[in-house]
Amino acid sequence: MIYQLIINRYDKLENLVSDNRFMSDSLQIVEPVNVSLDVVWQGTAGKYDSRMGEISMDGCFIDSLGQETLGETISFKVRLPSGIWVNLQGEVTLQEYPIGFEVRFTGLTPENRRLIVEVVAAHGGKQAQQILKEEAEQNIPEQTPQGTRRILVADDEAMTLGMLTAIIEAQGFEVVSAPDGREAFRILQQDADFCAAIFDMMMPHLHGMDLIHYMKTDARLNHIPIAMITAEQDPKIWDESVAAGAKVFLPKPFSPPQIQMLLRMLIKEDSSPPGSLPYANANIG
Amino acid sequence: MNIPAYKNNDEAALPAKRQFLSGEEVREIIDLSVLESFREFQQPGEPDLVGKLIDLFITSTTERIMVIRQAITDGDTAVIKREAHNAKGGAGNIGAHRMAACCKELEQKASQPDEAAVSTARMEIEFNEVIQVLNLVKQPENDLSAHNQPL
Repeated sequence: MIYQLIINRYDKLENLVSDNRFMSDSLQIVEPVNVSLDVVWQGTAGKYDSRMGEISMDGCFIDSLGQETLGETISFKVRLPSGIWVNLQGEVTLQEYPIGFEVRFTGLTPENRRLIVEVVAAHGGKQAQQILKEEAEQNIPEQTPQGTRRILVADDEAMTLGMLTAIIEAQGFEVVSAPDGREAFRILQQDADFCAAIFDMMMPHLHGMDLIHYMKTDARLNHIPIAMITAEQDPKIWDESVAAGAKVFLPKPFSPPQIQMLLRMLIKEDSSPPGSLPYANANIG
Repeated sequence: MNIPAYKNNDEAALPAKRQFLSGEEVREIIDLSVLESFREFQQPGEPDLVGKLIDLFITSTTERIMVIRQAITDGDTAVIKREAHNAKGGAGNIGAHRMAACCKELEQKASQPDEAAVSTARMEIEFNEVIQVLNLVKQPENDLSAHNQPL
């Protein structure tokens, strides 16, 4: 049964590849590009680890044996080429069982829409590249940061803390560093003047998750966007930290471009040089 | 401090050749391109960033290994697991992926004392090899990128 399913899947896959399209006409309009990105999605039938095979600026095609009902909204997370996981949701607009299904993005935040345009552009999407080019040519003035440029960073691995500090300071931010969770907690009790916080998941005394819980229950701190960084590979940890209120999750080891991307996702300003693609230095899978 | 020009696969430019490690061996021990990528964050007039990161890595990992050894003696599984986990993160971030794999193995075997001891020994061997390469990288005379001559 399983073998037959796989054979059917590949037969159908071959036919569709020859037609050079998976996505429906409506989403074809916005230029899908081939990608291979990790996806974890959850629907009524359960939770699945899958791959995203195509993405456009309006939707994507997820290769999956899991079936979803047309019109249903699913939540899913996708690992961008930069290594950062992003939470998305969308409406199922096409079923190609057992190959997968198409999703039209819904409820996209401006930051996530921008990230998707960048992914499409980095994978050869001409329209997306044009959008980014025009944006750069218009020389949109960078948003003047209103308020603080301080970021709280807590990691008990001294070298990792040093790496994070070097990258973040080079982006023009001031780093307030804490060598463990307890020190970060002590700082947060006295000081709420931060534009973002970046925590290691596992630290002595207080974990990153404990700090998130504290910040989300304190009116002085609950507006500060938080990123979690961890060497833990278990996807459940990602779920837990996002559910607790983390905005971005990045697994270790990380690279400088990934941290730069993380900062852009946390803080609503574009610190990349005009005209540059943020994935220029990242591994594009 | 400049990291030698290892990127072009020039065996002669690899610092560890002086210690009879081949270029391939060095690449297996540590991916020096990771540290190389931090050179662009060097601020003028500030202490050498790459050298500082190397020192932080060696110091913190040395301390962690001592804590792990003591935890194995005490049978403190939670500490072994936590320290191995953190050592894994540090090793991975500096590009010492083989050492990171040893740390992961220790993290997984933290509750088995004999196996944990063996894994710790493996991790220490890897760590010593990483130190050997990093110390050579730190030596000023290994600024080979300028002249790129055989050692």
